[in-house]
Amino acid sequence: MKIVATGLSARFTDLGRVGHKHKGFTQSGALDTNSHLLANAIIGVPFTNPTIEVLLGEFVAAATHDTQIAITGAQARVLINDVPQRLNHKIAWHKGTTLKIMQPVLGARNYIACDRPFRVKTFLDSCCAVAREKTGGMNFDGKGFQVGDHVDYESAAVSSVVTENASINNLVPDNQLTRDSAKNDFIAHKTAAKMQIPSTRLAKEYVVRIVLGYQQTLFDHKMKVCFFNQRFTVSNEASNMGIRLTGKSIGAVAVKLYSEGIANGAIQITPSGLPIIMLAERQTIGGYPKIGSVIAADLPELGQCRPGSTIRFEECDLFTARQEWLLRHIRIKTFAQNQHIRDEKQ
Amino acid sequence: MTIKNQQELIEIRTASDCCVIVYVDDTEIGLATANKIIEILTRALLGNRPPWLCEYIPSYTSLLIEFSLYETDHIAVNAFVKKLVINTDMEISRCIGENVTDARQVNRAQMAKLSHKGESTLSTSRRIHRIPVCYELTSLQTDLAKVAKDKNISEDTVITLHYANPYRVFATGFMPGFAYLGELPMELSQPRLSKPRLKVPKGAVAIADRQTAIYPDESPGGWHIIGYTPLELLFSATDVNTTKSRVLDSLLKTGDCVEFYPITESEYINWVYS
Repeated sequence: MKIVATGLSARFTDLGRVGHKHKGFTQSGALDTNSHLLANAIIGVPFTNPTIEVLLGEFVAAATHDTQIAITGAQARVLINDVPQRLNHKIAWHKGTTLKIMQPVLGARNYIACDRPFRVKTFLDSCCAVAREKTGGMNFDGKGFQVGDHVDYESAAVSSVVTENASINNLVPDNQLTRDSAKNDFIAHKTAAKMQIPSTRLAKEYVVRIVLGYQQTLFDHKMKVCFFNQRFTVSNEASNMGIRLTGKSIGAVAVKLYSEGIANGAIQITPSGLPIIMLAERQTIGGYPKIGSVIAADLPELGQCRPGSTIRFEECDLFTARQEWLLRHIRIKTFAQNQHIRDEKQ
Repeated sequence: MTIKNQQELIEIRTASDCCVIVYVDDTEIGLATANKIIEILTRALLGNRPPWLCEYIPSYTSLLIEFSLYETDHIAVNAFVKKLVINTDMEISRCIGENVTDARQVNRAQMAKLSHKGESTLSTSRRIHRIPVCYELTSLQTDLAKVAKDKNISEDTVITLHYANPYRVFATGFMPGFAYLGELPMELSQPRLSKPRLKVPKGAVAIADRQTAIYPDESPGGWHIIGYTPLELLFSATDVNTTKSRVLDSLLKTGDCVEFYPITESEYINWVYS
């Protein structure tokens, strides 16, 4: 495809880098991992295939090949040669036609998966470009797509071979979708028919669950009450690195801290008493006090936050957090495994 | 000097639903020893690398361990880390013991060093880097005047205090090539900016708390800028055989020794443009 307009930003993404944080390299990867996985699941390709992450539309591209694509994520109008298309479904995209993703009404990021794998360049085994580090991307300079860029495809055969690495946290094991196992299964058919698309929840207000941790004991009762009982607003400083929130200051903890490793979703409280949620492209270590971290299962929703969205925090225990994460992944895996049944019905 | 029992020195806390963080209390044993204990624990963790281990980030006095929620849960990881502490008990007590005597030796070495300024008296195998810093650069943003005012000392004193003593690389991270150097003299210690800068220029030498560092590239940051170095901290190379891969390496590594020396604005400019 040829990129005609990139919108605010458009670039390749995947599940990010694994095992390079101790060297100072950020994790990166899709912010709304759920939509990334879903897009690949709809097409029926491995979860690790790169997708294109489009931030806040308006993205325009011209097809150079006949392909099938799926667009997930933010609620946006999708047009091919001005004909409206459905989100979260397979779309045939023919050579010579133009795809348009308009500015979303709700949510912030769209993900495009394709049946022919995109030809990408990898840095630390990931196709992600990180602007802050000036690493990764098609020119290894951290930049996303530029108008006029050509996106090539690998030959289709490459797609199905994926090395399995079950110890990767943000990766669903069993990359090979076991299609045959469910093929003649009556129950699977029924499930598939009834199953809702496990898309990321979109809203103007998000309730985000967190586990208390790090320096949480330094925050007194009054500060925690203030933290959990208010709606914070997403400021303009929201990116793949993190989201700075505005609202009523919860007060600062006067403490000298050594810089320490920052977990995905960690909530730092700045000296002005306001939270910053650290996301995929966060710095690896930092020294602001942290009250806890957003649970892995709720991180995809944060990828759909945009300036002006509101966020409310809720406390969660570690057992629920793990259970929610496992459920979320089982849902998407089951969806992927039953995709061929839905294909047959269409 | 009585030293806390090791079990009390080391604390395991929740960092997120898939991360635990191990802290070593440095109040009694000092930062350098705490940092060495982190090194021991990290080595032990990797020596017997569990299948659920996704990431580890060692820092000053902490070690962040990220595990796969698919493979295990926080209870098992906590138990594993506790066992790790017990298994390395001997090594840790040796490290604490050594450092009590070590600290005295370092003090003597530092005193000797101050008497013949400029000559390196450290006879260890650690790598030593001498890094030029221009403290008087006016073309880029600096907090030098503000730091001096806040600490109620002259700008010259801030500068002299900053380059007087060598630093140890306690951690690397935050961004590629970024090394955390310690410890900054108490007289210069002050908290980070209440609102971080969105853009700190490349080469900025900055201070915060009892740390100092150099920004290898332009980046957001909450530290007070007091000077600039013309030195490149990050080396990049593209593998010519496969245009698909790229390598980056950092000049400063954990455990290295760094000494700063002042240069003038014209020296800085010559260096940058030569």
